[in-house]
Amino acid sequence: MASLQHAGAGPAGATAADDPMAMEDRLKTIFLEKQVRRKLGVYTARTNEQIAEGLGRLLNAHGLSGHQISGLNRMAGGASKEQFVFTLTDPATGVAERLVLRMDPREGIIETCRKRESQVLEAVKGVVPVPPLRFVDGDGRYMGQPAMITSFVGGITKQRGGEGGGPSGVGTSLGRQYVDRLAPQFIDNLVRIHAIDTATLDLPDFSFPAPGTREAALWQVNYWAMVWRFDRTDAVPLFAYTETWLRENAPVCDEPVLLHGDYRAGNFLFDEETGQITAWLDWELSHIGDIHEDISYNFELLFGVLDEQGNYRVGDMFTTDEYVRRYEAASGRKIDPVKLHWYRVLNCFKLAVMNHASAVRAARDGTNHQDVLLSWLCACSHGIMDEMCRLLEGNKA
Amino acid sequence: MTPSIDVRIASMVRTLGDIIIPAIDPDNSLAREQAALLHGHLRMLVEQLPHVAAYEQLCLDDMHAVAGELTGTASGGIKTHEAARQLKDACANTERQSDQKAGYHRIGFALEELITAAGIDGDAAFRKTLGTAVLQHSLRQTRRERSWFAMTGLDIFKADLPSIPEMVAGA
Repeated sequence: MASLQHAGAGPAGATAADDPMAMEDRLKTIFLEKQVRRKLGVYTARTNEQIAEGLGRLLNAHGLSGHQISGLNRMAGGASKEQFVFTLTDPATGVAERLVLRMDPREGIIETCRKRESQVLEAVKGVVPVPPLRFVDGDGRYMGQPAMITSFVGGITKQRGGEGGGPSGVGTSLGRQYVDRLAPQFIDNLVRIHAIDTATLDLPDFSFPAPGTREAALWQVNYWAMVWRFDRTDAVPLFAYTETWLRENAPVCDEPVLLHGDYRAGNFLFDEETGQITAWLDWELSHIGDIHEDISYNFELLFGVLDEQGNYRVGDMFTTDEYVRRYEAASGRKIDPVKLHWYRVLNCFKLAVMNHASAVRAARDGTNHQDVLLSWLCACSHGIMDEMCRLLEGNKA
Repeated sequence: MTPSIDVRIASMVRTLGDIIIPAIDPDNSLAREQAALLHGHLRMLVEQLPHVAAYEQLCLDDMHAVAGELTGTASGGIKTHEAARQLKDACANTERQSDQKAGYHRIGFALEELITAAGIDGDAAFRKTLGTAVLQHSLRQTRRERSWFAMTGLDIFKADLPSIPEMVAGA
């Protein structure tokens, strides 16, 4: 059993290579806070009344106590947050805006920070389409749990009535009529995110790994290995082997950039008529790191579909070779196949830990509002682990 | 024993699908989604239940066999030898008990310790043997698990997997 007493920083001057707890400070803090919070026990989904009360407190704190809340409804879909949509009306002007509340449950498939997510939304505003940020309750003092409110953005995540698309948008098939229109935007938006000058970013709750070091890689290994140790419910020798391999083979990151962290089909909205992307969602895994981490994420079989010939297509749009070629052409960057391979293994490790450890733990302990979804999603960890084995064997998955 | 567990679960599946789900308010998206997942879980349990004991025994037997081979070949420093000794103890304790799942995880935890220890002071040759054994075992185990949970529809290659009865029979 992992101990919080061993969770502090390593010796002064210790590098990420030496210190298994070297990682982003904010992520370590909120993860350790989760260990305390989980002792509060079973969590039930918030009622509309509880949400309305919390919103009242939040609006009051912003001097908007006279504003009216209506049309409050819970949103389905998504595996990590409680999400609601509501209308906020200014009684003085009659102007009504439709808003989305995104709130943490007690525990879930991932532990992330609403302050970080709000900061990155502001950082990428104007670079790629994102929902406008309206309010943040970073420590949950008004809503009871950390929360963030954005404007509602219209759009769909896949063709209506289309096939495919499991919980949380996994295996989303976009629809044949949209693929050609979405593919160039998918590449373009990713290139734009990676091109942001990190020196200009106002991200006070982010830590920046040093360029030319292995920090970007090792911070990720350290974090997800920590999550495994604290959240695991069973034995998986493969994880011990993978962690060792990741540490021994961690690559240098020459130029850390802003990453989305969950960049895939299912996490963007597009206009049903025009096929234009209207918003990139779910920035909670965003961090500063290596482009190969974002690129390789879409190689994960969970996030694509098989075409009629049985070939894997990234988000239903490209083969993996085409995806890399198009990213290289649009960005002017060169993808390193060795680094790509390492980050494919890392992404498998991350996703397997989320689904096999954190999700199962929350479902087992009843600390989430949708245990039955988490215990369902865990099943995908076995396909992820199968892929991880093949990558480690050196076979192309 | 009557009504049996499988009869009770099958009756839950029908009631949920025929009566409860259709009655849920269409605007209550969370309830609809959760009910559909519940229905899916119960349907999967109907398929899995007759094979649980055989499946857990199969997983235990494989883990036990891999561990046995490795304890016999462990080579390296103090940590590696101590971890190998503890793995051997875990295997011996498991033979004396009847809870297959607990036994599987007991051996699994000890194997994890051996992997970590070998990473510190294992001989290069043993580390290579260990790595190959762990990966080969993991491929077999993940394939079994993928069959076990194929009904979730989350596996992109589920069409290539043996059915649960085929899998527990050794396919």
